[in-house]
Amino acid sequence: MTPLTISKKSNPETEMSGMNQLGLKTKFPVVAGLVLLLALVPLLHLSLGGFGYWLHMLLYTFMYIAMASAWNIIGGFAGYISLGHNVFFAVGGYFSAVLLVYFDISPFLTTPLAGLAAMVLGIVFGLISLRTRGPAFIISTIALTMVIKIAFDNWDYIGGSNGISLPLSSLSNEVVKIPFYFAFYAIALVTVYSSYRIRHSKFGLGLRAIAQDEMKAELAGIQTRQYKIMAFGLSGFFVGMTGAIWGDYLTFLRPTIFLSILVAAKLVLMTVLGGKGTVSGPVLGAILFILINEFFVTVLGGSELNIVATGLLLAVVLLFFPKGIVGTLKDKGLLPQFLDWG
Amino acid sequence: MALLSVENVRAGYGTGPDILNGLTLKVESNQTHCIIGPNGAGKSTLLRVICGLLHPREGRVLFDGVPIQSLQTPDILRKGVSFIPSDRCLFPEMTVLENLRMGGHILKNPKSVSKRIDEIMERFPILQTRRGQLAKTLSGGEQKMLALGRSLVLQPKLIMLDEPSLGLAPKVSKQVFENIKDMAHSGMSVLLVEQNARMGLECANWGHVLDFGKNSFEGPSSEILSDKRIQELYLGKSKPARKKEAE
Amino acid sequence: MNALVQVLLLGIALGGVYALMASGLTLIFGVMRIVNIAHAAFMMISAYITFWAFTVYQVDPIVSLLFTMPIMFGLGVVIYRVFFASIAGSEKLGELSVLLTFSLALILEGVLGYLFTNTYRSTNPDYAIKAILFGPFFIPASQLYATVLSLLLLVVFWIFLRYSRTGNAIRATTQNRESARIVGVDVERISMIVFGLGTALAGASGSLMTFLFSFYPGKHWEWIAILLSLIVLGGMGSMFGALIGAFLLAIASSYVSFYFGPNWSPITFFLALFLILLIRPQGLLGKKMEA
Repeated sequence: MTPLTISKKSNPETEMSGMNQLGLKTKFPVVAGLVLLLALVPLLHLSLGGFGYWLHMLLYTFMYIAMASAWNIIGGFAGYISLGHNVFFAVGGYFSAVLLVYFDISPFLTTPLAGLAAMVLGIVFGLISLRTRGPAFIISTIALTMVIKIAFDNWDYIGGSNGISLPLSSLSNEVVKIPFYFAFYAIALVTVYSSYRIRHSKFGLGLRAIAQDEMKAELAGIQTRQYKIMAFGLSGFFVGMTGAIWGDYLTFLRPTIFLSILVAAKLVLMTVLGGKGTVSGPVLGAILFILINEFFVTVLGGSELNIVATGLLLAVVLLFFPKGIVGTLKDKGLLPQFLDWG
Repeated sequence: MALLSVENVRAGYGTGPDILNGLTLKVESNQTHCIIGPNGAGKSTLLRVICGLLHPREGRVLFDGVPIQSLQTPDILRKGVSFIPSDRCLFPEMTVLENLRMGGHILKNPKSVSKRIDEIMERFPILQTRRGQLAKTLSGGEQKMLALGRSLVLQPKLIMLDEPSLGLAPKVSKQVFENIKDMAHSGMSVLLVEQNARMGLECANWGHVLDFGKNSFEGPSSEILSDKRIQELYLGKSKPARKKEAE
Repeated sequence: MNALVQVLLLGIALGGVYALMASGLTLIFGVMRIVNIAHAAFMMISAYITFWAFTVYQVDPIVSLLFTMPIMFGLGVVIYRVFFASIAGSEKLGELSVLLTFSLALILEGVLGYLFTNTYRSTNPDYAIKAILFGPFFIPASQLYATVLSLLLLVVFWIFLRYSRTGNAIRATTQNRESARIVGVDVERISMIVFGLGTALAGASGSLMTFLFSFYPGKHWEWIAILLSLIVLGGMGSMFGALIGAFLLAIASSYVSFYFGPNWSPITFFLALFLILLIRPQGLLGKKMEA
């Protein structure tokens, strides 16, 4: 067994366990193929029409793929569970919304800034709350959500509890979804790719060390505090971007929607279901969860039983498959190559 | 029949490797046995298996002829086994008296517990003096004495101690070993594990050397103390000056 | 000046209730190191039972304590056995327990929402609108009764912990789990009992809150955030710390409510949390986290 060498820009190929050149050859084509195919769906819709529902479902899935992968950076890689991640979603969303309503700048342009705003929040908050380990951090993420919710509910500039309405797009109904599709698609790609690069970097190795045994990581010389704060900030950055685009997609934002605990719960569930701490896990988990959710909504209708189902599913996964699908398959050596991204 | 008989025990923690590898060991009544050996040999693990904190994967443990390896700790305590771990064995926010009472937790009759506690406080007057103090405010030696006292509440037949001298100044350790000898004189059987092999063997009749989870050598403690091989392997390091002299 | 004292009194009158709410949470954490995110959801269950008994059978909410506490105790025991007994021994308990109780909270919220819908509910026994006068000051009867009762329950509970055999076993398990085992405490059984007791305490506070605050199934998130902030402030695992934290924060939030309006008063708890994390992360009475 070759020892893992820590280098700033480590070669992804040699770092994957059990990976050989052949595996590499089968993995990339499959993934690349999927990526290209998905880019073509809008063309299908434009030419044939009738794919509106698919566009919606797909962009919704891309959004959650991005959010789950982002959550995974702090929750999976670093092992710090955040139950208030929807804060970044809200901050990003409102940031772009305000710029649109008051300054007429399109969210498509301000998305990266929205991400940055969320990132700043993450860093500031991380400076305060990442001084503790374990439960105190988790509690503070919940507290943060509450603070932001109360603040937004009472801040008239952004509409208070009534929220903000955004101007509708001038595009026709058939075409309006397409820019959003590509926006979420791009964000998802960037987030997953970043997650992949982080995982296979010195930074990612440090985060993993923190997740396993923070004391030892510190003693080994890893700057745990900086790493954690960076991870939290980055995680917020990507979620902030998704919030900005989603707000524009919905054309209105309200604290109850963006700061509902259910969003945070879904993020956790997706990542845990797919495999916390892996790169492909959140992606798989997001896709699976959305499929399951669609099923539940069709069968059970209404929102309350939906919540029960989410909770039950999370409990079952935690008790019986704590490593998630990707994690469990990997342990048993049954993980298909095209899903083994680290 | 031996008081305690460990037969071919294999044990480990969780899904980890075997720490005890087919260990066989006997403790006779009214004897003091001392186990020495390198770190990781399984000395502490053995004690934990005997008192029920860890169940063996294979093998048996017999006490007074009765198998106890699958019993839970309360039942093993009732049979007459007592265990004092190496450190952090007290309830820090409880008083000396409360700690002693916890020693008698499995007894339902509070009156008999009180009586025994009185006897113990006679034996260890310092506990009487400090009866209302929180355990965490006691000195190292006093805490050890409290731990000893607590284990005596159930009037055990066999008392097991894991590294009684750990963290104590030499003078205090000496006092602890005196207490152990007293307990042995009053008819208790003692099984102790010691890193300070010399002190441990000196207060015991019989010694065991544990290595790689097996009972690799045993005999009268005086023999073990004077055995040159064992001196080099397990005792020599504590007396470098003498070694130099010999050269 | 009078106004300030009045606000102080209102705060003190709520402190006891907050302390009772937080006590179950602290107890469970102290013994099992489980952060029970579903604690407030348990409070909600009890609140709804109380509400139902009041609306259908005119049972006074305070009287309903007689049956909500045993019911919640039983529920707690069952939930412990279903969710936690199997992972009790594993090292991953700490991290897993947070997510597990999180999922439990979701389940409970969903069930309550399905059964009772999201309408704001509360009970209004006669004393809910009465006020008791102390010279120039007043305290709403509901708050006074609730706080006095809460403190009474806490005293009874404290006596139980210090002087009963089970209570001592619980304290021992909290302080040194392994040594408790060594002296023969059935640590698993104690854990189960403690979870039941913690839930029963949640049940008590849930019943009491029905005539103090209005509630709907999703409100438990706000409550659990408040209570968790409270126990972090007091020092996790310290019952006395929770008591102090409860009174301090109740008083502080009373002033915030007075100066900025009731909408902003929950923020007191969260800002206090962030403040304590900055200055003294282990809380007022907590111990520094060991390796």
